[in-house]
Amino acid sequence: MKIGKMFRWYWQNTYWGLVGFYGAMLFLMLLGFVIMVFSSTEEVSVNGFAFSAEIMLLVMGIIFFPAGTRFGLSNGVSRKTVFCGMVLFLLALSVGMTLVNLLGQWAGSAMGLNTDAVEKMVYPSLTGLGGRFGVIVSQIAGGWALGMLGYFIGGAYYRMNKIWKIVVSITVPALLVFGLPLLLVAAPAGVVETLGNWFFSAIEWVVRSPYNLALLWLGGTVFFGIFSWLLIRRAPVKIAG
Amino acid sequence: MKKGIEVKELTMRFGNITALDRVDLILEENRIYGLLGRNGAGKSTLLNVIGNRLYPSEGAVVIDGEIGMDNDRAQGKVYYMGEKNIYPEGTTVKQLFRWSKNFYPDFDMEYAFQLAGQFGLNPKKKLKGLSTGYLTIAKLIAAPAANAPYTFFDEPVLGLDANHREMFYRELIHRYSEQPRTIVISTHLIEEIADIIEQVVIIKEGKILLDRPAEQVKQMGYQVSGKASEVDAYCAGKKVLGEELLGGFKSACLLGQPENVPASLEMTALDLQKLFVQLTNA
Repeated sequence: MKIGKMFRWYWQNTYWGLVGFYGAMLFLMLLGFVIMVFSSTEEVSVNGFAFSAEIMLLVMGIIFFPAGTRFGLSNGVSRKTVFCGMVLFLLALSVGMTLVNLLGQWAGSAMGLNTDAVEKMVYPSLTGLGGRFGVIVSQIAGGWALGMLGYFIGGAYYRMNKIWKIVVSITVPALLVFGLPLLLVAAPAGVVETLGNWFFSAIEWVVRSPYNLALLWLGGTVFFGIFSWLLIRRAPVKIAG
Repeated sequence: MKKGIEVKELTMRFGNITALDRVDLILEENRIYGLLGRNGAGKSTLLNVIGNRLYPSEGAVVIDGEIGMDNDRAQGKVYYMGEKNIYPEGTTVKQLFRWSKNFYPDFDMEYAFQLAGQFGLNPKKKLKGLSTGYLTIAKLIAAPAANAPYTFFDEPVLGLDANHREMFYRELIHRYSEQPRTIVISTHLIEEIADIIEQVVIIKEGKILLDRPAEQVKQMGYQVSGKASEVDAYCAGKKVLGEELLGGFKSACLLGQPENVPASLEMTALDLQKLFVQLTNA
């Protein structure tokens, strides 16, 4: 099966990135430990394992749309296989990184560092293996969803021409930074209140259980997966330069 | 199962530009094709569509009886050597061979390394460290070594010196005689491939202008040369593809079979490049 071959190619091209990523995480943990020992601080937090891994997966997704499409199509691999290989690879990578993160968190705790403050803050009532399992599932789903978001962004830029790339690169951040606040200011108070209530009830729902968060992430994975598929299903081989 | 590649009513549009216009073409198994055309005629686009690098706007590509577009099994039979490098720049020649082997299981590693040695290509070198010529050589080696039933070369000798070009053509013929396959060579260097190709396909403005066996093409016409006045007299009433005047001497390419050529005129076989120039200029 060529999915396996594409999977192997993605892995080969991720390997050194992961070494660098976990090298940096290890360095931060050691730095935290040194600070804790020499400054007599009782608690030093080294957090954000899951968040950093999710950002890493986002970047992987962005990079792999052009690289994987170009390489796969030029080696007799169909778009369908390139896409499925990527979806499975992102899932496997998310699972793998979540497990390594757990190991890292465990090692950090053994060194006396506080490595799970974020999870405790969001889900304070969850303790023990059962509680942790839900958090792990939500982290895996989060990594997968952000990887797919990255794949979608990479695909959108791959398919756009230069003019559209410039337009989107300027317009989207501008809309988010200026357009959205302006819209909220200009919108009738009732609408803003309804939107606010809806937003906060959504947050409450997510915070209620890590499985709810996982469901939200899975929804994101499916959403960006569908749009990524639409971008790749007729994608040409475009070679920069 | 019908062997070969069948291109059916293939159309490829880029915005308002129609690069291929309802192209019909059959590439038979174990035959060497020369795909000729002027710049922008649609040669690369046609090969890119058959090789699944582009998805056609309309029409279909059938490879050994099954739809070739976005089909892993069918596309696994096609190896396309394009002009540009698709591997990350840090890739070494050896890694290029290994990846090719991964996706084309019949890839002959031993043969690839042997060819690398013949061409003086160091397999440990990174692609980014190679000159244009050696980058082409690396890809040129991978193509025949892949042992794909359908091998496409798009401008295969770009940046190669005369010695390497000759080595490549010789090796291609040698490999073809040992392991026949369908080879399509798209190039502007018509004279260099004229003696290799078995079938000539000329494409013009996205349409197939001519698709005939090379021998037939060469017999489509003839060339006469001699004193300008005598050539003019002979050519009167005949279908002249083109003429060249050099001082008082003239040579003319004519379509059809030679008839009553005066002894004072020299008659030679039709030159493929000249025929191509005349056909595509017309």
